Amino acid sequence: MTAASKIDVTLATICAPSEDVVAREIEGDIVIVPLVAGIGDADDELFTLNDTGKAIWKQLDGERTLGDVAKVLAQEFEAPLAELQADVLGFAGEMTTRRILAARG
Amino acid sequence: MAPFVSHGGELHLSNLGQLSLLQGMTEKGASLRTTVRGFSMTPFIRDEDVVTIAPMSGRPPRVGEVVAFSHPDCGRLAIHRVVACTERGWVVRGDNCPEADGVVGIEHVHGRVVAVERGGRTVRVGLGMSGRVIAALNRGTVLGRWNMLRLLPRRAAGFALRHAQGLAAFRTVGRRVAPGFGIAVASEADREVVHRQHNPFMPYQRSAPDPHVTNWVAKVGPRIVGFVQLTNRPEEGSGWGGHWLFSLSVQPRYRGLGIGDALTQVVVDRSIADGAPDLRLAVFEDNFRAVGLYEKMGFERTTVAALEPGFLEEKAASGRRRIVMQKRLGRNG
Repeated sequence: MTAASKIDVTLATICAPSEDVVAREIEGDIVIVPLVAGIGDADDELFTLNDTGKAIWKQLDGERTLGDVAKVLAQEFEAPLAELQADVLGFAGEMTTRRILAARG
Repeated sequence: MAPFVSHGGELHLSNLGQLSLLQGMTEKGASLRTTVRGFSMTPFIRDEDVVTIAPMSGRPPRVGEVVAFSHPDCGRLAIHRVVACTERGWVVRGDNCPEADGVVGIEHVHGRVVAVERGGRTVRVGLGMSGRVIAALNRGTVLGRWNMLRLLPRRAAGFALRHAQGLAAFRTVGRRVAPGFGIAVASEADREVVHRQHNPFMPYQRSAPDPHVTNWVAKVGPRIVGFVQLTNRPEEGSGWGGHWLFSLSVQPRYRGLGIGDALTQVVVDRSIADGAPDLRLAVFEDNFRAVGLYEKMGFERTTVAALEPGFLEEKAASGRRRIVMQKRLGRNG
């Protein structure tokens, strides 16, 4: 997977897993395999998320804005909202750049 | 490295993990390219070949195709060849397996192998028309006999080598001219390789690190040629408490080169560093080569009363008797 140019995301952006990836929760890990020409390469192109990434990923349903996701996580983990917003924006920026997430709004 | 996502190059998916990922691919109508483990399809698909598994897309498997399926007995993912079609489903069998897996229904077939790569090159033999020929041969005993003939020269060479390894001259010369080896604490990947060397038909299961167990491997270059394990469990009356050496093994072609001595010594050194009063091991009484090695390394026969009933039961069932050997590690050891 080639890195695309940086995509700007804001708290108003809505993100969902891209149609061009297969993501499964396997033995506690979120395993993501991008599809290139209809083929997923589990040998060379397989990604996993850290704990923060996993928590954010599970909230990205294609309906909530990133701001809403940060609020949900801030409540769930009893953490400062500003900190969660920074994490969610960082995660979404990285994942949209990698084309693992699709963004709108 | 990015903070939220990491490239999974070191992630080893278990068998069920691969199955889950394959099912995810199938749901999207996508193909999965992945490394296969094991020897059940040798020689047409070998250990660590990379296969591309395409979805069935609604069409039934064909005789001769290699399919990825959930094993009818255990539900694990397997990649074997369709050798026959019956009213109840498809008969699948590994090219290198003595028996068929059984009959598999379409609901358990997740895809078919459309490409095989080995060392970066595409392998064509075993798929397409040749797959149908192999399936026809594998319905009977022809392929099994062919595999026996194919391996005959290697077995003869192995027989000769085993005899040479018992000669003092071979050991003396071998230690001078053989490539050097190194010993290191085994990583998860090392343990998986060792597991596949000893249990080629059993999938490897990852397990949580055990603080009472240390494993070492001996390597010649990147190749793992030996293994040993040290356990240091607390005494609990089972007889296996304290420091024990287990599973010493050296690949046959590397025996007689001092690798077994070195692996044993690393366990001895660690046990001394731990302050253990002694180091024990269990070995079959008729394994004269191993018993000789341990005696040379200072081990002596002993008896652990708690283990004797189990050893005698084992002998009654298998005809082989295990004994315990012990090396004193104190100042007088």
